[in-house]
Amino acid sequence: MINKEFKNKAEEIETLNADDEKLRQMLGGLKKVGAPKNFDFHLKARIAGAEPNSLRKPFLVPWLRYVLPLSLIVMLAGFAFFNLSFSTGNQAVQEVAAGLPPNQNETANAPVETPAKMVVEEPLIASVPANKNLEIRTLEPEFVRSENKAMQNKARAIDIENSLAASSNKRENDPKNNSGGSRDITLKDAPVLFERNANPNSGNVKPLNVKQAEIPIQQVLSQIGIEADYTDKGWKIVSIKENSLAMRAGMKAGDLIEAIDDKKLSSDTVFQQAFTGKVFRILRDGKQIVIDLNAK
Amino acid sequence: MALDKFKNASAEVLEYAVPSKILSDHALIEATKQGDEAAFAEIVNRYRNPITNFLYRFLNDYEEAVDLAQETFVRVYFAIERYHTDYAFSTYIYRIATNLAISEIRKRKRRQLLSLTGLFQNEDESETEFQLPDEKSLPDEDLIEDERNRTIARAIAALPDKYRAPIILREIEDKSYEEIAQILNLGLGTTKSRISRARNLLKEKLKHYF
Repeated sequence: MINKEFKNKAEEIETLNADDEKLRQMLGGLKKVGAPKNFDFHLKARIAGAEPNSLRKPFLVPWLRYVLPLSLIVMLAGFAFFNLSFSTGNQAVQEVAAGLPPNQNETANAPVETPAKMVVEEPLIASVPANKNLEIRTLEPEFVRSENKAMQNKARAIDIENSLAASSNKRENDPKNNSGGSRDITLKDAPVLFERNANPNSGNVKPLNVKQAEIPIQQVLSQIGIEADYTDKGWKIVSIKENSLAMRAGMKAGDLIEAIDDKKLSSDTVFQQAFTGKVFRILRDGKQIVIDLNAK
Repeated sequence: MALDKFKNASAEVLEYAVPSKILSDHALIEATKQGDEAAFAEIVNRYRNPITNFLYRFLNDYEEAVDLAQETFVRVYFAIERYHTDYAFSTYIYRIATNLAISEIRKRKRRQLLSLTGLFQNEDESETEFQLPDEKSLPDEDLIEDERNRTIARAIAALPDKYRAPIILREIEDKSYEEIAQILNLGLGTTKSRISRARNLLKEKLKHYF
C-alpha cells in the first residue's frame, strides 16, 4: 500500500535554494532510530496495568496548583475589603441614626435663638389630647425645634378656624373680602408648648401644661384684632386692626365689651383650654348690642 | 511499502490472525474496536519505529522517546472508541505523539534541570563535558552517530517547540505540508512559514557545514 501522505509529498513541487536543499539532505541523512526489542512487551504490560481513567491526568491538577491558591487569596482580599468598607459604613450610619451633627455637644446648651422670620406668639389654645406626654425635650436639634415652633403656630389656630369655619367660608367667597390669608390646618397633635422666649434645652423650663392652659382676655382680644383697656364695666376697645375678625364682626373702637358668652369680663378674666367664644355683649353709646362672631 | 526504509532487522515478526492481504489503518482500527488484539498489534508494528524516531529527534533523548512512544500507543488503545476516520490514522497518532513531546519539553523547563557539564571541572578550572554512562545497550550501531549528526541533532533540539515539530515532520518524517498542518492543527500557510523559519534557524546554527 502506498502511503497516501508520502504520495502527496512526492507530488508536491517545492523549489528550494541550494542551502535549503543541502539542509534537507543533512536532515534526511540522519540515522533513523527504531523501537527497542522489548517495546511490544512493555507496551502490553503497560496497557494491562493502566486503567482507562488513569491515563487522563486530572484536568484540574495543574489548574489547582495555581488557581486554588490564587482564588483563596482573592477571597481573603475581598473579605477583608468588604469588612473594612462595612465597618466604616456602619459607623457612618450610626452617626446619622443618632441624628447628632458633629458639633451637637457645642450647640446643645446654646440659648435658643428664634429665627428672624419665625413669628413666636403666646400659645393661645391647647388642643393636645389628655394622654399626651409632655416631658421636656432637652436635646432637640435646631431643625426640630424650629419645626416644633412652626407646628405650634399651626396648632394654635385650629380651634379658632374650626369655630369660625362657617362664617369664614362666606366671607372668603365674598369677592369684596380682601382678607386673603391661608388656613393652616395640621393633622397632627400639637407639640409640646413652652412659654415665650423660654429655652427648652436649658433644663429649667417646663412645658406648659396644656391641659389647664389659661388664656388671658387680653390675648383673646388681641387675637381677634382688638386692643382694649379695662374699665370698671368692661373692656373698652381702643383700636381695631384693619380687616381683623373683630372689624368684620362689626365691632368698633369705643365699644365696651361687657361679657363673652354671658361671662362677665373682669380685668383678669382667663379662659380655660380652647377659646370658643362666639357672642360678645357690647355696650355702645349706652345701648347693649350683641355681636356673634360666627354670624358675620 | 513505506515502512521498508526502516532497517530494523531486530523487529519482531508478529503472527496475527489478520489475513495476509495488507489492511488499511482504518480497517485495523475497526478490527481493534471489535476486540481484535492482533489488529492493534499490527498498528503498533507499523508505527512504533516512526513514532520512536520522531520523538527521539524531538527530545534528543532515546529513553524518553521510547517511553513517550509507548505512552502514545497506550492512549491510542484506550481512546480507540473515540477515533474517527475523518483524518488519516497517521495524522492522529503523530498528533498524540507531538502533544506528549511538547508536554515533556515544558516539564523539563519547569524542572529546570541543572546542567551537568558545569559540575565537573579540571584542575585548571576548565570545564569537562560530563558524559552519562550508557548502562543500557542501545539498539544497534545505527544509534552511534558521528560528530556532525550529533551537532545536527543538538541544533534541532535547540529549536523552539513551534519550529521543531514541523521541521522534523517535514524533513525527517517526510510528511506533506497538508498532513503536517493537520497534525499540528495549523493553517497551511502557518505551517509553511514555520518550516521556512526553522530552516533558516538551522542554517544559522549549522553554518559551519555550509
